[in-house]
Amino acid sequence: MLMTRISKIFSVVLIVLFSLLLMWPLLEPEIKLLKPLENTENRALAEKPEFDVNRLDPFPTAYEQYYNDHFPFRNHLARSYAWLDFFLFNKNLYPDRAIVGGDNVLFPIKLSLNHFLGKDLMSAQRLDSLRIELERRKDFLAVRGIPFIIVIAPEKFSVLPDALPDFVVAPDSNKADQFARLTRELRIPLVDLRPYMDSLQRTDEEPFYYKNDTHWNPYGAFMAYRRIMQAAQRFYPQLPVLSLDDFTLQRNRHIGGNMVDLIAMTPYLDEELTTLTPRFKPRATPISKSPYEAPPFFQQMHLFFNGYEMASDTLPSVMVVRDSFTQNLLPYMSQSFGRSVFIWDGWHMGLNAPIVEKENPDLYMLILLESFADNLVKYSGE
Amino acid sequence: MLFSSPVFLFLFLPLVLLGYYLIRTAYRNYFLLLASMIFFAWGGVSYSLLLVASIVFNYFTGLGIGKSQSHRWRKIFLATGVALNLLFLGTFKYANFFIENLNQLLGNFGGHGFENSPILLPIGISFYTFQAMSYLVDVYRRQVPYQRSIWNLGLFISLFPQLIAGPIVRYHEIERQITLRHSTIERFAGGIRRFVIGLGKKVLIANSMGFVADQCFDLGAGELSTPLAWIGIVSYSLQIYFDFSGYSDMAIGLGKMFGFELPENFNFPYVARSIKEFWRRWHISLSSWFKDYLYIPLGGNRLGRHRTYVNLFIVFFVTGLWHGASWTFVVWGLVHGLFLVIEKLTNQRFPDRLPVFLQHIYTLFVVMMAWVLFRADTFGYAAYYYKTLFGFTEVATDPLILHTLISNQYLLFLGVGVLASVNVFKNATRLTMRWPAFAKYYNRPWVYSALQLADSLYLLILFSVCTMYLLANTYNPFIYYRF
Repeated sequence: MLMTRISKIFSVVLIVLFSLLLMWPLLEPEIKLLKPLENTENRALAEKPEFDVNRLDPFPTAYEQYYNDHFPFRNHLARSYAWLDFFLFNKNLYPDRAIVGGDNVLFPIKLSLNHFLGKDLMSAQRLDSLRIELERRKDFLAVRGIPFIIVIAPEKFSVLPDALPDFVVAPDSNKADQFARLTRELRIPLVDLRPYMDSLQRTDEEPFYYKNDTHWNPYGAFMAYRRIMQAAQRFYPQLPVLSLDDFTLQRNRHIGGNMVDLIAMTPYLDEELTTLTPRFKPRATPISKSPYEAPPFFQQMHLFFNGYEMASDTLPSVMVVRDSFTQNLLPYMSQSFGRSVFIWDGWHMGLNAPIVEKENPDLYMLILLESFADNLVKYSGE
Repeated sequence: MLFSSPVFLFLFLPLVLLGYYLIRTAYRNYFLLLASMIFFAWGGVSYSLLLVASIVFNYFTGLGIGKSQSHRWRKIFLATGVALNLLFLGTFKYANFFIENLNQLLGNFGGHGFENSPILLPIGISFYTFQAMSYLVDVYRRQVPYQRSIWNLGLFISLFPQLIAGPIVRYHEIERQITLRHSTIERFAGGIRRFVIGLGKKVLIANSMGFVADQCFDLGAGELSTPLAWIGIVSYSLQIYFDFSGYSDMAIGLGKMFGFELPENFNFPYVARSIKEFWRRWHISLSSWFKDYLYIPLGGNRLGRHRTYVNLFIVFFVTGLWHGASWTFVVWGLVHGLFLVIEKLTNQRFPDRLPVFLQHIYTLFVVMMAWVLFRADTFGYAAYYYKTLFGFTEVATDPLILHTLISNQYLLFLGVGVLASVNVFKNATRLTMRWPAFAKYYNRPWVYSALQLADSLYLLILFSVCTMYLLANTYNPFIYYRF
């Protein structure tokens, strides 16, 4: 009798608590028990679909996407899950998205790893297309008397191979090697930062790359800048190049990065980061309004165009077609040219001829990430 | 709508439970019917009209069978009802398959094929059509009176807990509960327990195994190595069991929450020692449906040995076809039928006379090898998979693929899955209860209370963990967009 009563009491407890759990997300917008966390997905969340009696079939799927994306504690749950997996199971939650290397350095899998392992080599046909495209660009710029430099920015894999697990072994050649060979054959000045940064990193205690991001950090970007400027000085020896003495180096804790976002570990994995604060008064100031329209496929105006100008315009100008890796180069490169224009065309890595015509720069650079080496022809329809 | 989706768990279920228990008892069936219709429409609004048509048609056919005094007319109504149900199922599930095969046949003789425009498969059609047919047959056999209320019949056919993945409820099993059922605190709590355990089976074990199985079965030639093929088939065997039995547990649990007692559908099939026993433990509601409504009407084992074997092959041919409109499913069914016949040919001396562990190995081996056919899209791929399983292909295991697949989490759920599938946890609990030292304390109120509390907490934590896993899978960031 007593046992039956105890059993009944706990049945009631279970029913009440389970019902509260079920109702919690419905009530959360009103009761606000948990402080909302910032979403770190960098994508547009699904919008609430309109209920249209004439178009009922697509409604449930669209509503479910909206419901999932806006579930009250979605970010809390995703992060708790990632934390559990990382610290309890000693493994990241999304092994298909990231490799956790030595000292918890995060390496991306999507695109980058296949490239590093040489699994996405360019076919003979694609190489032919690339040759034609590079020759076209070289000729276009040569006719206008504009020197052309191509810079290959290394993936994290290429600079920190020692942090990789044993099973990630680089082959003899990958897509970037194919690209580099072709560029040299065509006698286009090339700055291949991969071997340079790899060897430099082995002697420098400061890390060049974020642990929790795919990109180089401000310090690594500075090292890259110095090497790029050496190449630029071959055409314009008068170009000033900043040195480390121009900056105050400070170590800070850094939270965030696209890799920790990718595996939902944003608040849990931080890193020590060296920042470079200029001791000098910047000579170049940003151009506030873009004189060019962003292409329809990349409407992020603040990313598409970045420009800087110096008041006394005696130094040569540069136009750079770039992607996200160049972001950390902007504070340095902008101080070395009279006018610098950076174009990010949504990874198309196009020539951007109309802008070249308008800018008529003294130097034209293409800075591309090694795994995007064939983007020059990927989007042009070959 | 899946039971393991946030929209079901945190929107549909609480609102339906709240509505169900707030309204008067007399209106509850109408409310549940409405909820079931919304549940079904969520998977394809247009297709809910088919469900309505099925309910109306079977209601009037049942009325015809039930009201007819002449045996002949009862038979005509039944035959028409069953034929139209099969035609209904055939049109939506098998038409493409039939035309595809016919076109291939005609092509072989130089003929022109028919146009084959794809028909989308309405969810749950195999389940609710079989339930509807069971109603007609049960009324015809006078096991139950015909249902006078179309709303009640509608509820039987469309009851959302078992609408999309069973168990297949036969009308005579549930007829009384439709009009008279009791919701008690213990039953409701038992429903929660069953539902949460089912959810855990599906979300934690089946999904973890499914991720690995999918990766292995998606590997092409040159990537699938022998170890990966074994990892794939072991994972798939666990995935399909925990997926299906998890859904059945959730259905049974939901049924309890609304006062229904739905039949059991699984009884640890992987501990079976023969194929015959496997089918007494696997998808029990389907096996017993086929037994009662196909095998026995065909003559069962009453017409001699040869006819029994033919009947078994027919049943397993149809069982395979029921699972999917593809020859790989049919052959999967026939493989099971073949081993069942072999066992029958020896009067179960095979495998019964083998040592027990060999009986287990034999059964598991046949079942797992047959799963390859069930999972592979084509016979060609199945053949390639078999060759790889037994080392007839020379492919080295890619360490990166292994890294992606084998995590500590996978190993944990693999271990739990293996133990749970062979009844270790239930047996351990039973043995502990029998242990005299424990039994002495178990009956003390504070120990009993502590255990009850632990049980409730375990279920609530399990539910929260499942929610965490479900929501984490909707987290899908875009990498190259830092700035």
